Amino acid sequence: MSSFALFSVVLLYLALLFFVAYMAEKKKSKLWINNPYIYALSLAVYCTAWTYYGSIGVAATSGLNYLPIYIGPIIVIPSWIYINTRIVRISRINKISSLADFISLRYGNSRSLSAIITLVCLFAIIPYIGLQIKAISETFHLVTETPVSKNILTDSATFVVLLIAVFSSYYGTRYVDASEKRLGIISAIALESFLKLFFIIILGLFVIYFVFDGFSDIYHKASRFNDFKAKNTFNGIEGALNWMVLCMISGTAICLLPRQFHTAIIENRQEKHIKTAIWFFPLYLLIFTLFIFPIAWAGRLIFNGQQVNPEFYSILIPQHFDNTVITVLVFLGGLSSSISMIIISAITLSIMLSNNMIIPYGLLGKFKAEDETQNTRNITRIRKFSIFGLIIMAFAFYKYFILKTSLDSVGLISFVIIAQLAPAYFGAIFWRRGSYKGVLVGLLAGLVICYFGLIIPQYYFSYNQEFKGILREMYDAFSFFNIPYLGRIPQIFFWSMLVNTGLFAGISVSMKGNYRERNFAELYVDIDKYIQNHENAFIWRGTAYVSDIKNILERFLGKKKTEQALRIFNLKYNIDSETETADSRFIKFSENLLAGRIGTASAKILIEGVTKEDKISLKEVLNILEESKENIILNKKLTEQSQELKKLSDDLTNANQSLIVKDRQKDDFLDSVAHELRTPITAIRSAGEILADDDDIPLEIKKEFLNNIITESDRLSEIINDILYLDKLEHGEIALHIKENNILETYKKALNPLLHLIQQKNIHISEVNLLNHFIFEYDESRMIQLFQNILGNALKFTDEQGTIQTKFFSRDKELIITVFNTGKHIPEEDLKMIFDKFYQSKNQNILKQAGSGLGLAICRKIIQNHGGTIYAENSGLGVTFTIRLPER
Amino acid sequence: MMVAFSIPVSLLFNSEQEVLGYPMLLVYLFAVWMISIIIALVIVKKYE
Repeated sequence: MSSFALFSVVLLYLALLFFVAYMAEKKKSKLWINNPYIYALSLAVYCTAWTYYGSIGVAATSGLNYLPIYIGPIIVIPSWIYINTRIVRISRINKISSLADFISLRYGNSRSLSAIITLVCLFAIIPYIGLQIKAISETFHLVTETPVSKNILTDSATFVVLLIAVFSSYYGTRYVDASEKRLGIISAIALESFLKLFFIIILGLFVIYFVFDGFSDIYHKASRFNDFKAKNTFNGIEGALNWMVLCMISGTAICLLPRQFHTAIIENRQEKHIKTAIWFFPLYLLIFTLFIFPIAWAGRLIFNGQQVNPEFYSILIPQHFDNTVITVLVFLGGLSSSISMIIISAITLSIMLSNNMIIPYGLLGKFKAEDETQNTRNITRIRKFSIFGLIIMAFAFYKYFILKTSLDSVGLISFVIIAQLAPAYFGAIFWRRGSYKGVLVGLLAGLVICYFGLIIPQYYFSYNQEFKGILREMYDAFSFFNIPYLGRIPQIFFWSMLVNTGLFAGISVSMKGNYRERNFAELYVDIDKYIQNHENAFIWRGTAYVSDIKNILERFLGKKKTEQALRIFNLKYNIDSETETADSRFIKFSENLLAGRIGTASAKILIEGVTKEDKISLKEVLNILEESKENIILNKKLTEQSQELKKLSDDLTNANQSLIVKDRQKDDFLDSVAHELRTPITAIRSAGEILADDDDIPLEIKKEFLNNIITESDRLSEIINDILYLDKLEHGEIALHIKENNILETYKKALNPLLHLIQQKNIHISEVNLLNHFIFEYDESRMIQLFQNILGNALKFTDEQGTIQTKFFSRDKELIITVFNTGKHIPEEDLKMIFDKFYQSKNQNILKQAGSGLGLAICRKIIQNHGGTIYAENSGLGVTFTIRLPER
Repeated sequence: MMVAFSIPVSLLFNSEQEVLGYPMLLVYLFAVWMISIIIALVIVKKYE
């Protein structure tokens, strides 16, 4: 394939990525933002050209050793659900935008530490980026079958690298706030991760089923190699030890590589996405590694005895069979894995470079004088140039240092250097006592070991044959520490980590830390406690004025955004907007606002410039933190107590209200009683008066008067009896004798005494029985009373020749009895009140009839005591009373 | 995971014998890998 054609393909491919990034950025649809799979796929930026080519080389030459790079992460990933969730929280509330920010903020927000971490990352990652460029360049030449040109300017691979540099510097610096999420880039990375997996699956299937006859065919043929068995087992306990150390190296790398930190922490949109990632990402790696094995052995079989680089089997195999399409696809897959690594690494390194080195050490003074637009432009420009510069630097590195070395060793050296940050990193979230000095000394010591143990031997031999002079003496002196059964890289990892962790722990324990460190230590370790009001956890004492700080903020955020942020702050903490002095919360809040743009260390320096902080001793800080912790607990208790009190007072109010209601009811009742008693007494009295005054009354009239006196007296005693009875019912003095009874028989018993009256009024009475069984549990004598009251009431209001119909049925475990009588309707507004004591309708004429006025009230009480209900409604030509009695 | 991949345990499978026609160690490593994915998936779904 010609250089030009392949270059066009690359161009098209990059255009596709541009397009995806652009669309994702523009649309911002839910599909992109809330998609946990995009997050999980973006983590696959871990699989670089090293996986694509290097692992195949390792699998072919040293068998199982290609696996630790993936097994290590697999061991670590389940712990992400705990560790990464916390780191995401810490980063979110502190506006952390890079690994350097994260570690240095914890150890007292130190400018120097963040700069050192940035340098470590640069040293570790630039060769690694160089490695990717090497892979792109070599595969480019391999596919086009052209030799690598000595002149950089005429080498077509150079242009590919330039293209990538432009792409990443353009898309990586869209936001001036580095803690902002980059949707476009991440979507493009996720797409690339998908494509690289897809292409390697195509290649794998091609090799397994097209070149060979299935997997077992490859396996069968490959097992004839002499070393086949040895390569599919550990090389004794030594091999296993090396293998294990390699797992540990890659396990720390998956957490600490700047690009992994960036995709996993900074670009995390929702904490729950981590949950998807912890199964999806291992699955992704599993599929990837499954195909590496057959491709490597197929390569061995095809190119047995020929002098070819096994790292490029994946391109050479399809090329060998003249399959241009698959060759180009594999090339694109490799390109994808390289590009995504280059882009993310360059972005995160450029953030570190600008926020932790260039701005705090050089440009801060200049920024203070400029206005917002100028500053924003400058910050983005710094990042743009550093992305571009980093890629070009890596390119130069590749050209001068790593032309001859293998992908695998350069990658592992990067891993070991990055692993030096592990004690500080994990110490940050788990150990309160970890101190700045411990981190610094441990880190530097670890780096020195890496430098002499790995970097010098790796690159020294690019130009020299053997150690000379002083260097040789030095290496001889340290030969005592050589561990014979470990490889060079595992050995250096072991020693450097041992020394690093030891110094970190030792110094931290033996020296007192700075109060600021301890403050952040509490915040990091107890993040779950402070997540809601983290600004409260920041301890600061001194003099500061809102206007000064506002001034600074305006220079970076602009007037409008500053105002907006201040309003939010004042709302959140309920602070008067006229307040002039700034408190610790405001200081932390402002630092956070600036942190995303210029890094945490620079933000602190800027704010320090306009405030005057009083010294606080470590003891005081600890006391305050302890107090604030206690306060939080106390607060919680107080809230609980006040809630209880509120409930209590609510109850009291309710009780009071019901008492008032009852009191009024009692007054009404007494009124009614007095009124009801007076009527018969008045009648008796007037009859008595007439009889007493007038002796000449004819006997008949006399008799009539006397009869009146008797009926009225009866009525009087009936009323009094009913009042007493109802009172007893209400106070539960009349016990219910609930037994099994036949409801129809009870009804008959109630009806019999009334039959005479019914016949007199010429009323037609009937029963409808829809019951399957007639035995129910109730107090029979009460029920008879109930029926008599209801029927008596019905009789009163039924006109002559009217109808009374009683219906029995059961529904939903309830016995329902309806009593219908023709007659006048009860006014709708009275329907509910007829069961009240001495109920009297506004329309006195209709209802003023004989009776105590307590009958229905007694009915309701009886049925309530049975756990049932009673109500009346107007239906058709009359009124229906419904009694509902639950079956037991 | 730490236990399953630790040296003593994985060395148990370090033999030239074959399981289902494939090297025992390879089968073991990938099996642990696969099982861990399934366990993670099950746990995550359960607490969703």
